[in-house]
Amino acid sequence: MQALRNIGIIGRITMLEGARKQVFHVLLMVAVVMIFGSTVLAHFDDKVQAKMLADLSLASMFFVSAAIAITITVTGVPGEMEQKTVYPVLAKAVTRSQFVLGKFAGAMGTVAIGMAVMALAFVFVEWWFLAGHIDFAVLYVVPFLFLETAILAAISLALSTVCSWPLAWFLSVIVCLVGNVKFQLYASLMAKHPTPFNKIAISGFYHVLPSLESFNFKDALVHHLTVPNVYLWQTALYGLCYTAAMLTLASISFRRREL
Amino acid sequence: MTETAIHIAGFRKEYPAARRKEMRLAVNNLDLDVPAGGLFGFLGPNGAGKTTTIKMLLGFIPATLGEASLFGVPVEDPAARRAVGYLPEQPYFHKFLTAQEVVAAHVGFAGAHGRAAKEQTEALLRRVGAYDYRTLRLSKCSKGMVQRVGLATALAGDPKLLIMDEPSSGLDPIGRKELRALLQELKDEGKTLFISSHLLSEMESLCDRVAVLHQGELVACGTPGEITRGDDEIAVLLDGLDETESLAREIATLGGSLARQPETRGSRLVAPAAALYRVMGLLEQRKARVISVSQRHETLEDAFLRLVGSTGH
Repeated sequence: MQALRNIGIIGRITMLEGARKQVFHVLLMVAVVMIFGSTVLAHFDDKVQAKMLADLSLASMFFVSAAIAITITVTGVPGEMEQKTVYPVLAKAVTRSQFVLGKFAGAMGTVAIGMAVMALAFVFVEWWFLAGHIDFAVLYVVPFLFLETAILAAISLALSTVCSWPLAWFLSVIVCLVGNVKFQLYASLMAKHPTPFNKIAISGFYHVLPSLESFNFKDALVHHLTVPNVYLWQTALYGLCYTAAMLTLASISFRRREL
Repeated sequence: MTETAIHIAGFRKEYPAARRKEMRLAVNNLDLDVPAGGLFGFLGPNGAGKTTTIKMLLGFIPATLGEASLFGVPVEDPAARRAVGYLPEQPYFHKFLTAQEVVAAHVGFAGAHGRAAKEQTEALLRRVGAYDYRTLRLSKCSKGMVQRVGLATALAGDPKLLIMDEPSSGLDPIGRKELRALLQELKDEGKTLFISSHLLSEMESLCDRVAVLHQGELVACGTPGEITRGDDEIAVLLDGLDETESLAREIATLGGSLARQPETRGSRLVAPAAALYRVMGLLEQRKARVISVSQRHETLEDAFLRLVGSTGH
């Protein structure tokens, strides 16, 4: 119980810090402007307009949420170490794992606030410009976007405990981009480099990198497709397991760091 | 039998030097036992290894060799820090938080919640004199104000052991006086205070025991009375001595010394107070003109300088 309380306190402080950062406000404004900006496509017919609106809005939501999550997590632990604010906290009976989990919880809390604002903006724009039409698929599309962001945040956090924050930021962005085109990239590389060694290496990377594309239900929302419940549960479980694995790695790595 | 608050056995810490192939020794073969209750002064010049030792005690860095425990619990176990309050030399807190938010967080880490946490936070803020600016963000507070907040966080959870690194750093004379009173109060409550400080005159009046660290090694440990030279000294200023060599030899046999002072064209004689009458007899024989005679007791500062050298290197 005390462990959860410690995580909660660290999370709250991280959230307050994240929410006060100017970069958070700027990114959020950019996303909201992009969501409202997608209404300039009003000269298309209703179907195209709805598709473009959903496409642009969800893409903006993902990239802005990912940017917030990566920025906060990648600078969180190194920032605390640099400013030495980690000392008074770890001088109490707070474990390093609790500290890492608290930083993650705080970052995801900040992302949740941002995502809620963007989702509300999206629903409002849909309702206003599409004559009262609201697609309730957004209720599962947004939580899966959140889970995708959680995976990225956990990877960034783990990277920030082993390398400098600029490098961790760069690698996180690479993981974000590659993770979203993993299936196509895998097929293409396998076809171009069919030697056994390359196949093993490509296959290894394929299994280690997160399948971020699996969390993208934008097409289902746009084209009104029904996603089977089993697939949703499997994807959610995969996301949770991947996040947990990354947080475990981050905790182990941070435990070994000299402060 | 007295409980041991801090037990250190064979602590050694090596850091990679600027050239990665070499190692720099920060602490070497440190053995120390701090009894529970009372104020323990941890003294040493800059770079002596005091902060490194504190960091190892709090589990921030692992020791290269050796082990330590706090009230019998190994320092590697986070549970060892349940009984500890820590005040770093510089107050390291998030500047965007208010004094109240910072103290409340630490009260929470110490296990209190709900109404009890709120009451404890207020009581701590009052105790360190930070209550009046509790709603002010730390970015708007002075160094002394933040140091008081730091004290409140160290006291959160009513710890049995307080580890403080230069606690009076940043405090004005009034703040220092209040801090001395607070340290005395905590000592009277039976808490163990482990304080690293350069303010030796303050330490001398407050400390029950002190340890002096120099170049990573323990050079002295005991009560201030044990560390300072027990015998008082006399210092005699002389004028116009023609021949000092034979007198210097005789003074040396009494355990003293005689040195010329070119700037006054006189000499300064230092000898144990017990040899006063014999020294005066020798001076009378030589018809030396005595300008002044003074008696002095070695202070902790004198002992510190004697042990580590006046430059600290």
